[in-house]
Amino acid sequence: MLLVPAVALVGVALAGPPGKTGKTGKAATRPAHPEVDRVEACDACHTDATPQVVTEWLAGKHGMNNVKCFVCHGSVGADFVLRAPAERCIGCHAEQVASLGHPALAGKDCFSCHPPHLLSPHRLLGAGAGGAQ
Amino acid sequence: MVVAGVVIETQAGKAPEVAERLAASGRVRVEGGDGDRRLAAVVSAATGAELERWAEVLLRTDVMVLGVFPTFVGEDEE
Amino acid sequence: MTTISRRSFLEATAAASAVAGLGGLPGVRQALAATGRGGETWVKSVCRYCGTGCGLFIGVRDGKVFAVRGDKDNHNDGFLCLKGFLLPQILYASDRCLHPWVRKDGKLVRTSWDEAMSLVAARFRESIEKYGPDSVAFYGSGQGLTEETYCANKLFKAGIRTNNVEGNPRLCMASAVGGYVTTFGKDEPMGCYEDIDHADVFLLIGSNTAEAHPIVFQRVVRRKEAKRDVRVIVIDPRRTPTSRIADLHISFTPGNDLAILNAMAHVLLKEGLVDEGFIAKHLAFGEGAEVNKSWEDYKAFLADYTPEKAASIASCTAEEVITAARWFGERGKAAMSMWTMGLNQRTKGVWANNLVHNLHLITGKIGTPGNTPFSLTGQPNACGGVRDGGALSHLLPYGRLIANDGHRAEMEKLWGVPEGTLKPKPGLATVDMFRALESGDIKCLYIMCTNPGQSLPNVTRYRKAMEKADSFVVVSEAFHPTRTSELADVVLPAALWAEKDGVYGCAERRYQLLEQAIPPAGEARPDFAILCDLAARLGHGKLLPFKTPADAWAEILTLCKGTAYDFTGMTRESLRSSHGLLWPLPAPGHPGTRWRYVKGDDPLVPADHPERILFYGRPDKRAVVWLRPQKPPEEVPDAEYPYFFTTGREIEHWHTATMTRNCRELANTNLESMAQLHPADATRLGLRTGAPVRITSRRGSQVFRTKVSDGARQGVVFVHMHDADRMCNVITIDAVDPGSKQPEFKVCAVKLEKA
Repeated sequence: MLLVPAVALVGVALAGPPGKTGKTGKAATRPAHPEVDRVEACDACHTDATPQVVTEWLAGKHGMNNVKCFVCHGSVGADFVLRAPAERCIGCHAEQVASLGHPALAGKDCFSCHPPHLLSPHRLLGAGAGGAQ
Repeated sequence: MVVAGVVIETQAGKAPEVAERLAASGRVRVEGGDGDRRLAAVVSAATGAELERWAEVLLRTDVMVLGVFPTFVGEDEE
Repeated sequence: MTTISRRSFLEATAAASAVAGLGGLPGVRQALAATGRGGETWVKSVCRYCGTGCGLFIGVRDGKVFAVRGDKDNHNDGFLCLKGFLLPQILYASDRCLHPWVRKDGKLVRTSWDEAMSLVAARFRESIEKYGPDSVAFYGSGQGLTEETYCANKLFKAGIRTNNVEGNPRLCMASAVGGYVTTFGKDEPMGCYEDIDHADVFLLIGSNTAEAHPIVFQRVVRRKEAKRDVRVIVIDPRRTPTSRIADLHISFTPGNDLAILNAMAHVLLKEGLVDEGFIAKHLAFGEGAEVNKSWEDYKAFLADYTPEKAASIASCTAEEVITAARWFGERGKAAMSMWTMGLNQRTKGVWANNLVHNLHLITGKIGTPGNTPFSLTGQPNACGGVRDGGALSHLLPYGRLIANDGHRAEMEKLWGVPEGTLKPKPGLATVDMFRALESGDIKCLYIMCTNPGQSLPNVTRYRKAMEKADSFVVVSEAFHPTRTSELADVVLPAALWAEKDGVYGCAERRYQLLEQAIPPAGEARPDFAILCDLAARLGHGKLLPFKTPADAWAEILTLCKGTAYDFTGMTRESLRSSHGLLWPLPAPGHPGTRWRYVKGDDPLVPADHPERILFYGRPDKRAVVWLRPQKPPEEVPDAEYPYFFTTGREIEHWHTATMTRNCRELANTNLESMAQLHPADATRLGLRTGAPVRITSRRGSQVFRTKVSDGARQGVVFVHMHDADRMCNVITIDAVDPGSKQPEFKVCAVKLEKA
């Protein structure tokens, strides 16, 4: 298991927007993307619209295990968040999220150390995508 | 000169072994540990960037090291 | 001097902070203990969705569920799939059923619990008195809690005295049960998820594991990452996301995988990859229903199944079949097979299951870590509640059969009911049950926690049966309307998941307690309470005297004792304090059983047994290799209906999507069923992605939008099962496996037209 809380000194600290996890509500009737019509997943268009994002996602653990865009980014429209708050990670990474409460990690979020989309564990920083896992 | 206190997380049971290696490197002063998977250490570097590189290299090169958590960073005025 | 002091000061501070940090970080785990900070509580539970049974904690703040997080100490190692992560939203859906409804003048109107229950009891009493007990029926679910299903089973079989007790696992797992029972004499897998960590080759057949069982898939991925020579064989007509990790994907014409499996056995035999010693000691051979064949007979039977023959029947290549067999059979490599609806939802479903078991048996690749046939389950409590609990029309609890005089007598004694109370004739299996509703033989049907108005095959026919004036249909459901509750005469608001407590049993014989985290929404009640109320109103209150589900569990423990399921040691307390326990677990403190039939692990195998394995399920203590020929599906394409039609799942949704469509993120993704077509077929038909296409079978017709997909197989159109507005089951066939009575959702013939 390499998905350990390997949080290093590297990276830039950026605070994410406030989380929405726990806000409850009903199914969205019509997403803000006018062309999105409840039919396909985000990558159907974003493979062309943001190819690097999709490529990195596919190369990482999330892509391999079908943890899709909305798990981190929320739904479309008002529910969309650009930089996922840590609360959105606790479903699978509760210990790691809890470690953010440590004074040593003040001001950091998951992406301070784990590159977004690829989300490689630390030890792979600089070692290229999908390395020795 | 930057001085930092760090907790180094290692694979279970590997903390003493990692401590030995770090001590031998001369750059790190190991201050304590839990005897299992965590070490407390003080490390210094010319700049913050160098400190970050050190952490990065340590993570990449020592498979027993799982994480480097800064607990304190201070800058010497000189 | 100043500098030195300053540096000393810095170093001392740094050292102190680092040493203090030593104590800080280990606290992370403790901070996640059941009670958190700031009035948050974390309640141990299990995911509501598939049969993987992932452990999780439900976060409650101000009386509301605000989050879930995976249970690191459970088999899922803290991970949840994207559906599981979004679970909190289902509790607060706008279509939660919050009060009882009754139909008046053709319309469902709000009513009180007392009026609703009085009406249900009166109509059931009237029917039983006028037309006999078999004029009423219960149709339950692999999603009900074990205690709930148990109450219904006992009330109907021992109280009302009808064996018309069925559940949706008939649509889901019945063929897997048939496979295990015919091959090993006992239901349920002998292996467990941990086998994944030891396997060198995976045979995934009839399973889109990546989407239908994502956390199982993730464990396979991890195994493949950890050991570079691990190989994955995927046998599936479609190229699905599961094929992303495949080293070999065999696509074939639907319904012909029996030929492939027999040809794999042929290759194993021909290339000397069978284990003659294991065969001589542990196996018997059979054909039809009789165990009357020999190893020589089996070899003669296989002679005909050359890879070339299989390739020509199934439209794959002989090389693919040979490679699959060689990888599976390679000596010293552990082989794990996993399958689900692709094999089960077939008119030859039991046979297909037998043929997978055959591969493990003739190679001896069974009962050591990583060597196991392992059926994946669709629902979170199909195994624990319905299969093990015996809540099907031919079963009694824990491996007992309705048709067995001794088993009935034993259950009558355990239940404290007079001799002869239990009827000797099995009740009607699901499709027959709904046909009896159609014919009027069944007048009253109680449906709990499932959505047959969308999920039955050839659904239009059975919707009419539920809708007609003389059918009295009660639906206990957490959501309203559903495609079933809209047809009901009475809709009862049921508590959902975190709102009640009880036990779930997942695919690997793991039983887990779901603890109540919040009160039920609105006027909803747990099905357990509703059934106890109904029993009292029908004059059978003494059969269900329970105050809490824990009382029912205590009674259940007395029923499993001495059976192959024996989990007497799983007290409520041990379930509460553990992260799931695997049966057999015959006494408190027993660690549970990872590998069944295996000496040293399974407490039912004597410690001094001379062999490593003992197939104690059958009287001769041997597992049966069955001679099962390739047979086509019930309906194959012809000139009029030239395409295969097949159905399945997408990762974002679950079953009839009553829950997942209530999650914002999921509602916006893949909710609409589309007709997935191979580019060549799409071109031939002049269809592009998004273009409407009418799919018609002999049973019904439905328009979908086209989705052109490279992963589709030519001549095969796939539609997912989740869409309530475009129901694939208008088209599917209601032919069933003669043994398991499971319908053939996976294969029928259709024509396609531009719409």
